[in-house]
Amino acid sequence: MRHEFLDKHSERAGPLHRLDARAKTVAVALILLGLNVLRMPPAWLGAAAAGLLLAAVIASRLPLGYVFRRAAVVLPFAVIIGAFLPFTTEGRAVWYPAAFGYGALVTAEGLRLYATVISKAYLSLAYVILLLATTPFRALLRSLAWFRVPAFFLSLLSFTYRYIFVLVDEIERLQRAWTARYFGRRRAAQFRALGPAVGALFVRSYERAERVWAAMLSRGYDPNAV
Amino acid sequence: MHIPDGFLDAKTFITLDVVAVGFVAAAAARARRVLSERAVPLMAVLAAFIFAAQMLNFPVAGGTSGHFAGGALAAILLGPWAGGLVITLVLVIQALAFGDGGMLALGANVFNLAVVAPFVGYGAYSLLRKVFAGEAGRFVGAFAAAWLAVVAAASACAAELAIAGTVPFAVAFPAMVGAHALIGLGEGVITAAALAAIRASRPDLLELGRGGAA
Repeated sequence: MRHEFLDKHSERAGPLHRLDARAKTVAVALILLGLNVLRMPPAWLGAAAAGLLLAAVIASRLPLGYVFRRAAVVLPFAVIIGAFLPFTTEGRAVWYPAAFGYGALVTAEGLRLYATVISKAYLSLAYVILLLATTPFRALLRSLAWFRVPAFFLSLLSFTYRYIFVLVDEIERLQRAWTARYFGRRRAAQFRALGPAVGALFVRSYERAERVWAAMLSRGYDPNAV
Repeated sequence: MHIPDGFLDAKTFITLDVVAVGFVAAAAARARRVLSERAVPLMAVLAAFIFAAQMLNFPVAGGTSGHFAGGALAAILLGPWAGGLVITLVLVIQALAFGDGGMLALGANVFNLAVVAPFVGYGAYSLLRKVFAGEAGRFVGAFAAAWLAVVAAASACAAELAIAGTVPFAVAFPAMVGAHALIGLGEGVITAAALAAIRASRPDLLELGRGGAA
């Protein structure tokens, strides 16, 4: 069960990978706050964040373009959600597009805010992707423990992470079984199969949880020693 | 429907981060009390189940697709607190391991999908089961609960984007609610069919969250 798409680069040995996870977590948290606390951060802040990101990506020795490409998934969303800002922000009018007798005022301030929202969303996601691609998940969890996140919640997270890989396997088996029975095109039939598949997956998951718990107990698991 | 960073202003995301931490603390304390040590493997495996089930896409309309969200199903099976905790785990893993949904916006996403959806879904399900007796009530209730949960979460999301000043409410609300009224139909059918499948093989599992105990 290898699911490389889930966690591909975090085990490499680049210079950023060797940095302490706590330091990276704090740095990324501060950068995200710096970018997002103000509605309209000054332009130099955005330029500095972009420059630092570029330097860090080059230093990380990740495959070129990996961070930038993965962060780009936020762009269509940002372009659509922000599309009203040029019209709803007050300021100096620069353009009055009209069609069918209706028009709306576009302001310079609105266009700037639109560009700011898109850049904030892109840069924030790029920093998170960079952090995740240079830090194994368990190191991230250990750093959260250092920041006093309760052990109970962290053991829930690490268990969940482990079982995601198992259950993604399970769902791929279900999907293989069902594509072997249908011949691709019958959308309605596929849709009808979804609910029972979810139900079957739940029962399998629950029974797996019971087995896991029995196995943990029989090996002397002490719930207070997480 | 995961809000990325960059769309919410400081007052909105900080408020919802605080609310989310409070919810998680209360839900975790409850899960520990009710389930004791079994809580960890049970919650974790079920969170992984929701994560895997969310990979099932279905076509909606006009080339877009929705995916199963699972908020109502988790709440119906486990009760709203444990169900919400399970969804929270999914959201935290999605943000922390895969960059899906913002870090600062995590509280907003937890509020919409792990608090609003499960509690609305559970409330609607309990109410409808009292109105419609028997097995029919279970499936009508599950369908309506899942639809309402999806629409309620989408409304909360639209309200947050409007409060943050990113999208005017008059646009965000009809757009989000309209799209999710459609996606919610898929969610409702899947939730009801999943319950039917569970009832056929392990009917005892339908009583796990009875009275919101877990």
